[in-house]
Amino acid sequence: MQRDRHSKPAPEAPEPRAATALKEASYGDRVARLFREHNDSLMRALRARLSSPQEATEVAQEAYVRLLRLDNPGAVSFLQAYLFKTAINLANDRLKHKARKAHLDPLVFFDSDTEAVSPPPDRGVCAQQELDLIERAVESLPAKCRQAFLLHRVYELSVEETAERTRLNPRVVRRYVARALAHCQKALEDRGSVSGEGT
Amino acid sequence: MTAANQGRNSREARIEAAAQWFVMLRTADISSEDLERWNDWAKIEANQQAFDAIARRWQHADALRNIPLPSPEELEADDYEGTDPVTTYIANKEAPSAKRYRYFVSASRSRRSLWITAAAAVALVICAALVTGQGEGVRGILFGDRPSQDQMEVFETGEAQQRQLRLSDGSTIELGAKTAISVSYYPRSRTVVLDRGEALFKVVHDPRRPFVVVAGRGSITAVGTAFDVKRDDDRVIISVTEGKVSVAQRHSLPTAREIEAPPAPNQPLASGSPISVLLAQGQQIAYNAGGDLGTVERADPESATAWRDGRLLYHNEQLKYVVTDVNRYSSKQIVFGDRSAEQLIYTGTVFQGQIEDWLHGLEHIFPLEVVRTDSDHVLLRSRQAP
Repeated sequence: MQRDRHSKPAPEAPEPRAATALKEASYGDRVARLFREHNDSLMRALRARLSSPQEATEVAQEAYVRLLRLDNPGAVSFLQAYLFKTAINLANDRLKHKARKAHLDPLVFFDSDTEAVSPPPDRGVCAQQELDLIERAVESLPAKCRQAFLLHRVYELSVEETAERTRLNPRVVRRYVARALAHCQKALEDRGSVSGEGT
Repeated sequence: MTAANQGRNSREARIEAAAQWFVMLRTADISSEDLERWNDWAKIEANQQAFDAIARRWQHADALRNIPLPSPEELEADDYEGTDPVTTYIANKEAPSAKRYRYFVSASRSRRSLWITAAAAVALVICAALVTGQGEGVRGILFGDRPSQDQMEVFETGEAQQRQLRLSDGSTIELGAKTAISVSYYPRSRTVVLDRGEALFKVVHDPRRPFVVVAGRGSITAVGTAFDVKRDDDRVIISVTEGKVSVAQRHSLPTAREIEAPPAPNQPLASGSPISVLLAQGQQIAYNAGGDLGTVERADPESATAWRDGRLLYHNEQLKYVVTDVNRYSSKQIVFGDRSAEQLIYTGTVFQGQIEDWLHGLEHIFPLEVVRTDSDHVLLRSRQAP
């Protein structure tokens, strides 16, 4: 029993239910394998949503814990999809909560609480020269694409709000944002200035 | 230089895909199928790097607060719809007539300008079909409304991975391990570049849209057939399992015009002075890095495609080529200690997942010894005389 507990891979192991201890161990193994095989892509998916890596880690951990606490894991046919769904729902809840907070208190509009504690490490590293390149890349974007990108990214409107304001389909807004991001990255690589960039 | 440009091309396609995934992953409701696709895509290391770079660009955009929003006039004049990458759109817009002229004269000068000008040429044509790879197809998800003019899509498999792609015309491509292809579908042609590895093609007949596989210094043109193409470091082998294909030597990469409308099978290709050979079912041919064609030989279709079931079959094959294949299906990499070991002739079967046993067997058939150097490498060398 005790050994069982220690073999649990999750950051916070749940209380093992005595009757199903054996079953649970193999279920724990499955979750552990899931973690090994898909954690990187889960973290990447979460980082696309949440502003700090720390938040992404917290959400991922919470998702694993929920997965391990499932009463009837056999009922989940596709564990991996379930894990991602859970994590993404948790991330959405956080974002909603933050949006509410932002509406209540205009002072935290720029998410000062999380970013002040742990500024994304890359930002400090990004050289002024690179920022100039990105700035120029954004300025060179076609007008509608630039507008969508600026409203969504810099003015922090949601995709739907951006769509409403620009009278575009949300799908088109996303498309513009993706093209704009790729354009920035290409501009940077073309100058060969990414050599010093760590991954 | 052409190889570098080709690399650049697939890198740019990768950046676009990474940006699309990034935006896609931010949307509130993402389907399980998309998540599965995402997981497949994110398994590839180069994709991971591209994605992380895009995520950094997202962070850095914080510094853009003083860029003004475009004026109503600017917006009015803009006709960019986001269906092409921005660079392609800008290049097309700025393309002076001189650039178009170059497309007709010497379009294959650089792969990059080739793709841009090729895109310019097809911009006038309504493009009906686009590749929808099973595991990838980001464009299909996000930009599903209209195919883009940036039509090249890259598909890759990792170590010991296999994958089946179904293309929009019903043709299928099965990728062996450590294989990379780029697929371009145009209204009048279908072109696949095999960058490395091995693939089995089953082509749906369409006389108006020839199916061309470009691999190194040669190309294979098919009209309704099934064939296997394997690309090693210094040679390419084509085995036909059904129908007929034409294999042609070429001295340069295909020109934009050839990609847009490749010549019919058996017609000499425009560039260089190619020699072409018609290959029928059950036949096999190889060409080397220079594109020089070997002789047509009998091929057992079963041996050529056994890799799909996790078996590699050889008949009188140089050990170095056997090892190249085996290395694609194993995490442990085999390296040769000397040239004479590479040139031993092997006949037999290697089973995926039983490579250790196979290595052990080699020590019995050949005067070889297997030295385990570290957890990732195995050294194969001629046994020293006692």
